[in-house]
Amino acid sequence: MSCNPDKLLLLVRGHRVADVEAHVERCTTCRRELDVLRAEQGLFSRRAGAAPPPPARVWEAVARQVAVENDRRVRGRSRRLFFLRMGGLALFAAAAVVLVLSQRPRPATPAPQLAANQEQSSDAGSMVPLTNTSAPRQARRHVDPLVTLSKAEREYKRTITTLEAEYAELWTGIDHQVRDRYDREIASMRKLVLKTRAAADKDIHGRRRVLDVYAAYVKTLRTVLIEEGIR
Amino acid sequence: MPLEAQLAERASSGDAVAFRQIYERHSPAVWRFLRDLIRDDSAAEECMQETFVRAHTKLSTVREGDKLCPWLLGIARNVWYEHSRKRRRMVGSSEATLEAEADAGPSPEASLLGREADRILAAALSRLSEERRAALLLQMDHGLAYADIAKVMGWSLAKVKVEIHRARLVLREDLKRYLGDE
Repeated sequence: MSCNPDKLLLLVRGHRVADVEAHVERCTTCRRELDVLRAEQGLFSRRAGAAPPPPARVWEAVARQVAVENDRRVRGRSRRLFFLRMGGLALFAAAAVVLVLSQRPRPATPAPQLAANQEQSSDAGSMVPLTNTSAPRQARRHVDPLVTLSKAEREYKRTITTLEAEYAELWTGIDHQVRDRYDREIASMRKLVLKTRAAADKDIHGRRRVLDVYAAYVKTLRTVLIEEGIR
Repeated sequence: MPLEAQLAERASSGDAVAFRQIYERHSPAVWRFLRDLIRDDSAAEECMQETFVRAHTKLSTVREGDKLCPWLLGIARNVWYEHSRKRRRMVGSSEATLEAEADAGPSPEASLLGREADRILAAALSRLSEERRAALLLQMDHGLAYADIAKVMGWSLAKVKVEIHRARLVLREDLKRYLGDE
């Protein structure tokens, strides 16, 4: 072994290191350095031994603050549970909207058969039943699907605002690395929402895709909050 | 699972007794570290309080095999760093503050002890810059290994070694008589 002052510290701290001890036996420089290090350590140890303990009021203040923090966490947890359930409901409601819209018959223009029947009945002046008797009623009930989609979108936005606020509240307490990962995931979801929404404009299929992306974003936020909040 | 990680896990799940045990066990070292760095008891109390409150919220990040003392000293170092940044902004330029610190002389504690070597040690420590002093204290007072000091200070291993070496040179110059190093 060659001279290595760092290893001498091990001896100062009471460790038994055979090759270092053997080296010190032979090397006067290291023996001298070891003596100085021991003297230094002695001064520091005496100083540490004489240092007063922290005042009792420090613990009292810490305990008080921790209790407040715990209380806030418990209240926050039940509030988060509420919002998480709300997020689940929003997902369910939006899924129902999409289902209804996708099964809805194409509206408004009468079928060729229906038009022919209408012509025929007016020619004959008689009350011949129409092929599709419910058509006028359906036309009256017709609601613009874009309005329904916009409603669902608004619901999503409201849920997302609430979940994002919850995340912002937890943010400072989250470990840096984990927080960075969440931030990246959330930023990419936001970007996707904006992009899909801009591309969709008034196209109904595009707007349905927007709802799907909103749903994925709500799921991401819920996962983050479950991981962080409901430990 | 080592005892420290068990304690941390219990404390993080709301066990107040476990958190109190952690405090009892490690507060003297954290307190000494903060006092040595800040050299103002009331500011050190504030930082101490902040350190343990912050530690409590982060206990769930302690992993098996982590040592609590260096982990707590790392938090204390961050709290102290934020405190000194704030103080520098208030006082003015950082140079003025560093000069003031260098002239601060030994702490009242050392003077009361009346031991000349202790007094000179305190004076020598006060001549070091805050960060260099922190690194040396982590090694000599708290017995941390270079790797742990690097983690606490957020430095490279090489920087830790250089800083401690330089701090030790200053110390030895002042303490020649007491170290038998003349």
